[in-house]
Amino acid sequence: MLSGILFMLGTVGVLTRKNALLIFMSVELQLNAVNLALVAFSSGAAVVSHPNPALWLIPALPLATAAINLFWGRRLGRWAGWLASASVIVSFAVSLAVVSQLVAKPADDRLFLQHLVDWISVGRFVVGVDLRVDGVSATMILVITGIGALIHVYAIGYMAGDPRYGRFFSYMNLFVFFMLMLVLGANYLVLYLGWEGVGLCSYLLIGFWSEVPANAEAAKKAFITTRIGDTLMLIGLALIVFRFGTLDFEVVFGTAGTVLTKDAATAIALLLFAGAVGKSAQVPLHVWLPDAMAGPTPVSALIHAATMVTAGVYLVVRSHVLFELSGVALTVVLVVGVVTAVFAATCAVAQQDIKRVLAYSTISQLGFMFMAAGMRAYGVAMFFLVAHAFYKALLFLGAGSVIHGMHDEQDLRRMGGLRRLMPITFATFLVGALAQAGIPPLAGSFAKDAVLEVAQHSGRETVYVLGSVAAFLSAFYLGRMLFLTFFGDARSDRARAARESPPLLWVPLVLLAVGAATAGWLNVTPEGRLTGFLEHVTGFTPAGQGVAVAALAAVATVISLLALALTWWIYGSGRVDWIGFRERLEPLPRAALNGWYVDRAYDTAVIQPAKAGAWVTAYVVDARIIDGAVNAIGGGVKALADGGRQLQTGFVRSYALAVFLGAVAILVYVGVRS
Amino acid sequence: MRQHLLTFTILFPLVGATLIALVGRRIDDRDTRILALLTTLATFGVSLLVLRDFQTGATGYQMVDRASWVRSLGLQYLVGVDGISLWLVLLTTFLFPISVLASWKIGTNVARYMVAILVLESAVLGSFVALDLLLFFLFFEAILVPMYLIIGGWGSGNRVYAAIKFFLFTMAGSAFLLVGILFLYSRSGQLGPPSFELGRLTQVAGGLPVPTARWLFLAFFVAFAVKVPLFPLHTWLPDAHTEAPTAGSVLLAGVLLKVGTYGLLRFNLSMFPQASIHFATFVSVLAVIGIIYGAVCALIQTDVKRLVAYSSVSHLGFVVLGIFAFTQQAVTGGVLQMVNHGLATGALFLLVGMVYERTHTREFAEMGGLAGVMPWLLGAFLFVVFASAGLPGLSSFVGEFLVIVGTFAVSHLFGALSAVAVVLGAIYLLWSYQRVAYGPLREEHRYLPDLSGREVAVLAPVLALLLVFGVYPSLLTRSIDPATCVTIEQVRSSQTCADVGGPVVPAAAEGRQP
Repeated sequence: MLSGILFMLGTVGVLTRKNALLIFMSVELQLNAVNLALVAFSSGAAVVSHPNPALWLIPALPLATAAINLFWGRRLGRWAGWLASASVIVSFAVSLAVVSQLVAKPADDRLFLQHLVDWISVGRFVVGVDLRVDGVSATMILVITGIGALIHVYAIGYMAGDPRYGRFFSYMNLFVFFMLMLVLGANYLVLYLGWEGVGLCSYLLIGFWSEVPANAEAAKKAFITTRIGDTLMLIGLALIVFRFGTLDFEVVFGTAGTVLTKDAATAIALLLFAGAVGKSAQVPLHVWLPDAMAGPTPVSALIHAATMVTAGVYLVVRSHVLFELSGVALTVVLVVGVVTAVFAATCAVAQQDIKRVLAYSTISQLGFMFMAAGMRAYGVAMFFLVAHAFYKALLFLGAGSVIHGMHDEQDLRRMGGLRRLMPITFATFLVGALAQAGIPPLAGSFAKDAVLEVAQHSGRETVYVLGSVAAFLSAFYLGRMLFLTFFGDARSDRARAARESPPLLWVPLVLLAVGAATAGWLNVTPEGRLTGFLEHVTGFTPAGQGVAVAALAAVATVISLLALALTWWIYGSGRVDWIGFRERLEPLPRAALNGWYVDRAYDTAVIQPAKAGAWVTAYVVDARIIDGAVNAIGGGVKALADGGRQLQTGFVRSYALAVFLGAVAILVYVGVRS
Repeated sequence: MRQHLLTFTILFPLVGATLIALVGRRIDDRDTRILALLTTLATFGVSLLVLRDFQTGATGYQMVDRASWVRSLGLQYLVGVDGISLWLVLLTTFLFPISVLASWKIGTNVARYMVAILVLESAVLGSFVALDLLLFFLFFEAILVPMYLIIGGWGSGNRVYAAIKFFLFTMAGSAFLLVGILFLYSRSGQLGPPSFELGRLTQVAGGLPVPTARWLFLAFFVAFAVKVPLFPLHTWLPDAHTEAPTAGSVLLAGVLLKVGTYGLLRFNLSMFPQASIHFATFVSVLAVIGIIYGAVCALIQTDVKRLVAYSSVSHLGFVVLGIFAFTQQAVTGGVLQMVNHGLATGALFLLVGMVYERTHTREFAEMGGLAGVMPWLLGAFLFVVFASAGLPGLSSFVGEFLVIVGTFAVSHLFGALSAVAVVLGAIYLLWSYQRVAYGPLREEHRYLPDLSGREVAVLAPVLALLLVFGVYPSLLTRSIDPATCVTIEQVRSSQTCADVGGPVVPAAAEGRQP
């Protein structure tokens, strides 16, 4: 009752106030009301061992503001962005509070599990909306809300003046909601809800500027390509239900060892991994991510770099029990990771569009994460994920700042010399690039070294060598991007007229730069090691010690520095005619630029035949053969009936009458006989 | 009063129809429309009373109303609901006021049109609650005439061909049904006075020799398969949908097709359990072919209504697949899918109709760029597209998921193949949305109006339910579940409903059961 009144009050508040702060308070009031109602109704339901009543707030806040901005975004004007950002910031604060409570618990009991309501309940198959926070999901929610908040604030400036400003923030908030559900879900179905939900938001945001047909096309391509993986994953879920009778993580992971044969585990793990390959844009389903850069840059930073695309890594880490039971599946993860890391890096080297460089770079870096997971170093994969979220979000937002400063110019060939005109952007971008290139003591070096170290440590020499090649290429394309953008002479009028972006844009850059510079230390100090914190979920992460590690790190750093020096010589020193150089190498750069023609191959081998097949099915099989048979039967009947034309009037009502009379006659006959 | 509620639900539209037929010439068109709307709303109100009085969790038929008709022949009026028919009744009474509202712009022969709509409502409701096979057959046949008139009288272009095709297909199917019913009736005399009552005929069918039962199963099956429609008996559907007026399409997809799947579930499964098991693989193969075939045909359509029609073939394949898996989850999922498909596809046809009213075309090639002109209409369109594509959180997902999971427990192959439609669905739905909403805008479409107040009133309730049923499907499943359980027990002749998988029933799930 009370909750009802509170909710009404909150609704009235939202509808009447114009001030964003008041609206926010009203929303709070509504959420409190929902909370009361939930507590009141759930008392009789499930008994959950590790409740945390604040948990549901984390996803609920962005959901509430998403709804508000969807319907009243236009009326809110500028406030829409602030409202959206505030809700993510508060969500971040709640996450911090929850995680600190989690950390305060003894190491073997770090778990919150909250049952909200039953979602699906049919027979004995019950799926609840259950939220779960352990080390892995704690890490994820902090990344999502923390980096998400910075990107939201950045977007206030970046999207200013867009006619559908409120709509944009509604979708962004909705994305944060689904992403949080994805990582907080305590069973595979809630995870799948988030999984599909982020796909929806990705679709909406890639195609946000849908006036350009290519953007709409890219959005559709992203959704459909990932849905191929999602569908296989859905079959995986069906297989889990078939084996376990439930989708709860606790039950599945707790009993997997006794329930699953090795083959069954392989089947499930590979089907789940198919979902991960789609969502995380790994080979062979990577083709959607470069095109997804059609979305506004904050979208690329949040969805296509820091969070959504890492969902696949999260899925593998979360389900590592199943992957380990299989063994084979882990090898597949490793191979896909290595292949993707190297393949995408070769594509990144040749891109002309600054965002496409970053897109291929993201694909390659995600490959590194899968590499780590494939070698059972799940803690390292998560550590890489966190570090990458910082520096890749930074690089994207930095690129966004460049694009903004140059009035929507994205082509590297028309940039140059921006370091004097955009000093803050340059400084932060430099931090991000060096971080990813692996220059100590920035975040990326620790993360990348940890992966290479695991490879070396476990005797996988090939992985180590290929990983180092990818790392070299990675430093190379970053250096190339850095020199082409910020050094040398301005190569266009726009580059000469570029201006530094406003504070709303560069303040988040600075904060992210601090993160990208220091996140590496998360895994360095002995007491605060992230991998250690995750061990209760992921198991022990093997790591080398002492001199050997230092030597590996030194080798890796030298490789990166070599690559950077090479790019300086080609693109920065002015001594090499890099445009002529590129022309001499044709058609190699052209092939890399086009992603080695994978898209074209898919079009020829899959899409065109499929279209032809569908055409034949619809217009030959259906229209001619099946319907043709029907019409032939009709024609046959008609021919037969030509003799008895008196009966065949052609009026349907007389047929109906005949049937009716016939029925009556039979009835009477049967009635009389009995 | 209470025991006659169902009868009132059936009678209300008939009374309204009679009223309109009597006074329709004397009042103007607007009053006729309002009268029809009020009638359907009142019917909806009565059906809400049915929902209120329905005892959730109880098995067996409720609110049974019986009246003798021709005693010597055993003819009687007998209606009742269980958890399955309850929701189909509500779906019907819910979609009719919306269809009336969506037909507001129909300007020719309004009174006749509304009479046809109202008679149709009575007939559909009657089919869902009849517990006597002759009564069912009469209602089942009675559906045809008003629908035939609606397509033939108020349709577009090639409407006469479509209407006759629709009529003859269904008529051919029901001839088999009639033979089957009469055969059973003729045998019912051996167990007491002859009767068409479902319970009695079920007993009769149970005592038949196996081959006879199989033939009768097929007779019933053909009638319902045409109605569903199941591959390869589906070719009347694209024509009927394309030529029908908006409300006709909405009602055809929304409720009429469900009479077929309902018939399979209610009559084939419970009357011929062994034959159902015998033919399960055969039917499932047809269903899976239909799921994929319908989706593939939808991929390449250039006419938006044909596309939605083929998608119906695909979605209803899911329903049939679920029903013939005989697991608790699959059958309940199938029933959910009936309701959800009614809402989602109904909404799609409503939206397509609204676009058509403005652009006067159904061809994708002649649309494009409409999202910029009519943001709310296309926003609603996108919502429905994703609901239809089975996005979790919206209604269709739950039904589809349960069918896939429930089928997977019986056959990995069928379960996995049916999942292919999830990808294909996304492709044809998003592609068609793209062709309508994005791309270059035609000059003559530049000033098209966005949703009107009436159209918001038409769409909002449907869209709201798509969300509510997706988030909280227990609203439906807690009354559907006991009913499907009874059917499954009959088919499997065991005392437990078959649950999907799992070596152990997880303690957590057990404990959560109320």
